[in-house]
Amino acid sequence: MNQIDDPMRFQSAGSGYYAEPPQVMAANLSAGVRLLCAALVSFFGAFLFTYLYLKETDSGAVWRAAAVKVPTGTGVAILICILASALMTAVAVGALRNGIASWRSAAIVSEVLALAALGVQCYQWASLDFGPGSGPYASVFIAWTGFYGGVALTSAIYWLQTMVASSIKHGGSKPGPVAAVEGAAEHAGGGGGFVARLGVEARSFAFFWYFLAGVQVVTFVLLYLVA
Amino acid sequence: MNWRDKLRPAPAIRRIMWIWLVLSVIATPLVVIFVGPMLPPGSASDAAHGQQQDNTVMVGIVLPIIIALLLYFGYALKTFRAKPGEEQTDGPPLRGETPVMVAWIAVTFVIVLFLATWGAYELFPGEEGAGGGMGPTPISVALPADASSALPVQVIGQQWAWTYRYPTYGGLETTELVLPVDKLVRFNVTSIDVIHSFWSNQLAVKADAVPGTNNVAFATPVKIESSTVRCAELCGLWHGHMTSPIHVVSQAKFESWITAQQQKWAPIAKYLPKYSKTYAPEPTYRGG
Amino acid sequence: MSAMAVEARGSREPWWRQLGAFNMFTGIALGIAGYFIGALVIGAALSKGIDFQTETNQNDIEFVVGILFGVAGFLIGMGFLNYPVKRMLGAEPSMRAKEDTGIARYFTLCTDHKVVGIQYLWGVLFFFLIAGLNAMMIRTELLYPTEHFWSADNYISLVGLHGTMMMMMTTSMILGPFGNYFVPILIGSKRMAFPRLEALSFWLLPAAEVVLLAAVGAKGFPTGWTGYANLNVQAKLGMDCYLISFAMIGLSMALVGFNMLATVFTMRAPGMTWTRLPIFVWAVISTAILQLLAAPVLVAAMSLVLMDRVVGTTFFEPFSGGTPFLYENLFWFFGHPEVYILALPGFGVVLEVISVFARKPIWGYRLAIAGLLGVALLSFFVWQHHLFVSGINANLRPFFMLTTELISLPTALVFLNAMGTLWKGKIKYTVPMLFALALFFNFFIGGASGIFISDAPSDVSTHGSFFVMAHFHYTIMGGLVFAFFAGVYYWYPKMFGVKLNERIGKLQFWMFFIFFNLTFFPLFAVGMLGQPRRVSAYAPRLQWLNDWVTAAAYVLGSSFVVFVINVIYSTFFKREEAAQNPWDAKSLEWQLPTPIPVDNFERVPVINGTPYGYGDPSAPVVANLNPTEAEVVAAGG
Repeated sequence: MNQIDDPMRFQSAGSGYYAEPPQVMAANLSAGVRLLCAALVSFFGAFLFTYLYLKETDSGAVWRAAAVKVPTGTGVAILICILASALMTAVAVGALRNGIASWRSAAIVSEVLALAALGVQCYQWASLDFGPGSGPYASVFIAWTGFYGGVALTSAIYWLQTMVASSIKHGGSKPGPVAAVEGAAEHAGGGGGFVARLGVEARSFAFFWYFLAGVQVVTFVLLYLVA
Repeated sequence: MNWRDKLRPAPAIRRIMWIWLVLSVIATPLVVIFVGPMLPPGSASDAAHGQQQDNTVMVGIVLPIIIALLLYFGYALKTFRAKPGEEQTDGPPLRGETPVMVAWIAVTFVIVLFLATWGAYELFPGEEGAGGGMGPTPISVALPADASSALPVQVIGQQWAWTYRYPTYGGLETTELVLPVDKLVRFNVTSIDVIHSFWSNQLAVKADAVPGTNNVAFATPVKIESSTVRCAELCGLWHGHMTSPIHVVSQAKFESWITAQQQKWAPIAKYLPKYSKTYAPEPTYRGG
Repeated sequence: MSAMAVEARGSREPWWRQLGAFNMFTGIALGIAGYFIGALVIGAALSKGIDFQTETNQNDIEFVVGILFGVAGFLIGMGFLNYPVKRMLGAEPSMRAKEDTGIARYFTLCTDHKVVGIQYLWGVLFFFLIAGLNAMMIRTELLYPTEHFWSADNYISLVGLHGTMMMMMTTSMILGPFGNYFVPILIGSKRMAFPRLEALSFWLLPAAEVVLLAAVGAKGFPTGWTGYANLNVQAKLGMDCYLISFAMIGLSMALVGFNMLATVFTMRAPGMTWTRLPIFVWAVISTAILQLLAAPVLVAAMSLVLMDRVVGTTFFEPFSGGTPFLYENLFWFFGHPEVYILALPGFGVVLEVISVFARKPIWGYRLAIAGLLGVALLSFFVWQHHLFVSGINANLRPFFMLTTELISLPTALVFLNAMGTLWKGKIKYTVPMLFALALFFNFFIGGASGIFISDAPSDVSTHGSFFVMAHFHYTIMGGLVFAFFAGVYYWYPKMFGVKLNERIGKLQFWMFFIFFNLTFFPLFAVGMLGQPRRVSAYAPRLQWLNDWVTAAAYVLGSSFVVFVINVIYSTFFKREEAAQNPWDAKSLEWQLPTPIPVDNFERVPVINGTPYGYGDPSAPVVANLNPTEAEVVAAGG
């Protein structure tokens, strides 16, 4: 194959390599995750607008018919799983100061909780006693939870999985703090550079996951409490 | 050098400004007075007349701006051309001058504020504004003074035809719109399938026909003439063919026409749906 | 990395090996396979028992699932899933090595931003020409008010295809080719922040265009590019093509915006302060902000319609609790920033071009930044001016009238910049300069007509008529497309190493400019005299105007043939080698050799000044391309 993935090194026009300092990738990731959250604010904002607009215009006074029951039980379960997962992510980030292995254990718990949330969400979809045509509330519910669960939650789980998997495969189990960014000398392949990158990535993921947890809180309030 | 000298524009600019002043002072009143009354949408209704006035004001403002830009660009593009064959040199490193920027921002801001205020003012029907669909519940201050005595006409759009109902004449239903001259008309526009838009260019009335919504517009036709209503929102295959005649006639003729229609349709009038602000079509009859 | 692996990367693989790798051919093959698997296997299974889908020949579930699997198959075949899967299995995050030779890389997932820029250039031009042909077909239909060349559904689909293809393509008309190619170079970076995402943003474009063109085989779509509810729910299968392709473009737009912002925020070279950025990069920043924040709303709106069609939700069904106004608001909340996504990059390009060919720095550089960012900010607050007569709450009209009129203020600042830059300049009328100047002429007409339609009372008569059509063609075509050609002629020597022929270029310019105005200026009158948009039948008294417009449009269309001839002639026949800096410009991209090396710079440069050092002998050269360690540290790197 003529395509090779080259870990953070580029062949320059002449021969040899230049090493890109890890600060650059760190900056890319932290800027990137904030931009991603801004875009998601806009995306979920559209659903928020849909919810508020349809509820307010309430054309035909059929926003939520009596037969459409709010599945509060599963909703609470999902919320709790996601909040717990976000909490474990915070714990994991704190554990970075004790090395990759401690980060990994907390991250695995966080991932399992997120998977649980996804599982409950799928169960909720299968056991809904209303369909998408049961009115505007039902439509918004299905669309919103569909995108949250199907897109946001799965991508968060995917990201977490990549970090856990690569930390198992590459990361040293030696204890020691993982700084946000390490010097260029440590960067040239091997454990030190990888660990630095993972630290950066873990912090960026945490930001993303806290944001999604926040979105889930809003979701819960609007779809289950206010309904 | 006191502040007055500092703010004095360059001689070329001063020349341009004088030429601009002369041209604008001559051209603008001419255009406003002579072209104004010819501007669309004409004056076949009070709404149309109000819009025509609006357009005239805007032409009067835009014209001096056009003259200014043409003069400046014409001067600059001709005068500052690099002489062909001359060795390539750079121009002076002018990066900006605060008085020019301030003046520019101030002038454009004033123009925009004026236009926005004038437009908002024109929207009030007392000032002949309106003509546009205002939704189901226009606020009272936006209604014309004699709104309560307006002639209500319902316009029902469907793929691909217009139907008109006269609620005060027993819900009479026709496919031609006939209106009495000099009487305020309240259009209640709705649709029974997709979004259409009721547009009478002569009356300068346009209101989107949205299913499930009653879109209200007001106009007073002042000219006895016939024209065409067209659909102004893409509604499917025959959108371009969705037209109907509209006749503005004298009050007497209107009354006799109404009576004739009522007599003509009397046998089936009892089968027509009762008058309602919106109509939900039978699901099985919906288009598509 | 061993030396062996390096050599293997640099050398050319045998052609049969390259064909077997992930490239456009595998992409297309997997895309087609994906469509059939999705439609015939999965879609059929999902729609089992749902009579109103299976009992008609309009099975939306099958079709939509098929298209989605087809797109997924295409992206997998292009190789976009390789890295995510590797990462899932534990690979480290890594950059992808860039192929630097061979024409094959243009047909693959290539992470060299320069390759992506060139891919975009040809992709954009290709679809511009197809959509332009559609326009010729539309104008042919309008020759006679009552006789018709195309059937009603073909005509209405043509109108929709033309509009949608143009809107989809113009969102990346400048950011795609020139933003991707030059932004990293202009800020002194060796790469974009997320190169694989950049490649993805490009490949979504041809995929989306193909999905859209598939509508032709699926009975077209009747809604025009705005896709209003409820017609979009009522419409036949082709509507799904529009919805999915537009959502894909929304995703592509969001990715471009994301990438541009991440790159400019984090990868500026040492010494590149915000006030030393070229104005083109500022235009890219303002556009990227709009793309990042507005495109997701489009994706959401398209998804809601798809759900109404496929799943049976009731978002837009007025008698089941929904409302068509929801769609109008969502669409235009995206749609208005969208048109500024089209306009802003054009301003950036022409300000650069005018500065170079008047040999003067940009007059009022900070004001220009304020103008660009001001337009971007205000563009989120004006969307209901598309809805003045639609039955929205009439109290909102004065507010939106005010905001819409206010947006002309920052736009006017850009005019002031151009006027000031020309003052006392040494203007050379090269082809790029001609296009740049013409933008101001056209955009003024477009903007002035915007004054008329922003005035709600006046808009009552002009909304939905050809007046609006003329307005946006003046601003988008007269603005963005002219700026695009200015950029093409200006940057062609750097991108391809040959100069486009000046004489043919001037011929193209004058044909384009004169016949563009002859085509679209009468349309203001056509609209005010009562002809609605998107119609094939109109009042016979307007026939002479329509015929004039059609005749002019044919010549306008031919001007693009002249451009194609210029490209072919200059690139393949004449091949007049361009100097490294044929325009003697002072910005960073012209200080690099042609062709630009694969990593742009041997060393990350140190920026010493603005790229507008004209006329000032003491102004430093824009960048030091071979800085010492000490210089880098001193500049803060």
